[in-house]
Amino acid sequence: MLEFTDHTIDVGRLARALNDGRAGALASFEGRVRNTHLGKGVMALEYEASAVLARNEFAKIAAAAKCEWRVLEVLCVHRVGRLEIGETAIWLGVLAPHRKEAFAACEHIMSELKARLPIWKKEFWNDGTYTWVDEACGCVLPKSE
Amino acid sequence: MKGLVLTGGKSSRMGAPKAELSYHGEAEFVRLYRLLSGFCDEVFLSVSDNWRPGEQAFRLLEDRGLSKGPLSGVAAAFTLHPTSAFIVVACDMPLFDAQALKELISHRDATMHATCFSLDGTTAEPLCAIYEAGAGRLVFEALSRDMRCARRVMQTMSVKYVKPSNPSWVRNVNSKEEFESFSSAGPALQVDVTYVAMLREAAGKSQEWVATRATTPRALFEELRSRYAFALKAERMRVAINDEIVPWSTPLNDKDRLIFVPPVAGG
Repeated sequence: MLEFTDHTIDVGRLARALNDGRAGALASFEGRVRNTHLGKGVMALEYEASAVLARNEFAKIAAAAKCEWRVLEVLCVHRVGRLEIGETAIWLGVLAPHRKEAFAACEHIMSELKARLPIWKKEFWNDGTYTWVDEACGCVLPKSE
Repeated sequence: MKGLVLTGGKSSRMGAPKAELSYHGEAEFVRLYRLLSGFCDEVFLSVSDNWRPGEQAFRLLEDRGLSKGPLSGVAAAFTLHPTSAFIVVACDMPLFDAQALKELISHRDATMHATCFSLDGTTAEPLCAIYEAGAGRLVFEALSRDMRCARRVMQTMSVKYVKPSNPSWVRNVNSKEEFESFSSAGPALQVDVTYVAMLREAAGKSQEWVATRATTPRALFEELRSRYAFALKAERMRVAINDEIVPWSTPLNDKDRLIFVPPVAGG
């Protein structure tokens, strides 16, 4: 399941929500807002998502992971709106019977999410400009605010 | 050959000038002026006291008080250039396009007074036609006798009739509503486009209904890309129809909901 929120992500609540007696492992990843990107100082971020499309894509990614590994449940929460340095941008939890498959699936799903989910990130630099982040391109085209 | 765009003054029914109605993202007079410019060495915009464009980028041809309907514009054109032929197009045929123009020109018979489209082979469509230089005299004569109906005046001429391979080209449309109701039965589609992130900033809006004759999201994106000067190319993006990512070549259907997906950066 994928959720979007414009409030602080409560990591503890999410971990507790993944509850299954068959599970011996919960592998989770928490992505936070870093204060630099491409060597430049970052002041804040703004995320925007196309929620329905994202949930449909997420369902495909989770289904594919469940085919490859023995995974019991996948839960993800992504922030939208403005985030300050250090805040949690994403939390992904994968519940599985054993450690190895939980880690492997978590890593794989995270890579797929980053590449495929319709979520866009505006980076506000310390110098007052902003950029729509384009990871594949890696180029930075600052615009004046 | 020279071109003449007939702007037709104020629409009595709509209260807005027909020439300013926009079916393809720009005013019809601008679209037709540019269309003709691709085929003619000089293009004129026929204007009268009723209407003239706000911009200055057009060669204007004044009706000088003649104002006896569209033929006044044709007469003014022949007054200025008596030895030239004119392609004449009026601003009430939103589906008249480059293909239509090419077809008309390819069937031109310069030994006649005029070459024009006709759906049935006998009834002329006089406001999308080629008038040869020799037709000027007949237009002047008709107007001097107060004969204003272009179709009747054309009956006094020798005319080469061309059956358009697409009848919609010569279809008269007088309002956006009419265009939309017509296009839902015809070849054009109405699709719901959502703009996200940098595309929203470039377009200045997050959503709109777009009337298009594009048959794939790729063709539609190219239309919108030139309309809004999007920096991103389709190659760097994906597209979703009705909330599923689909190939760029997927056929478009009426009422589809589209999201163009620029490079993503979640996580």
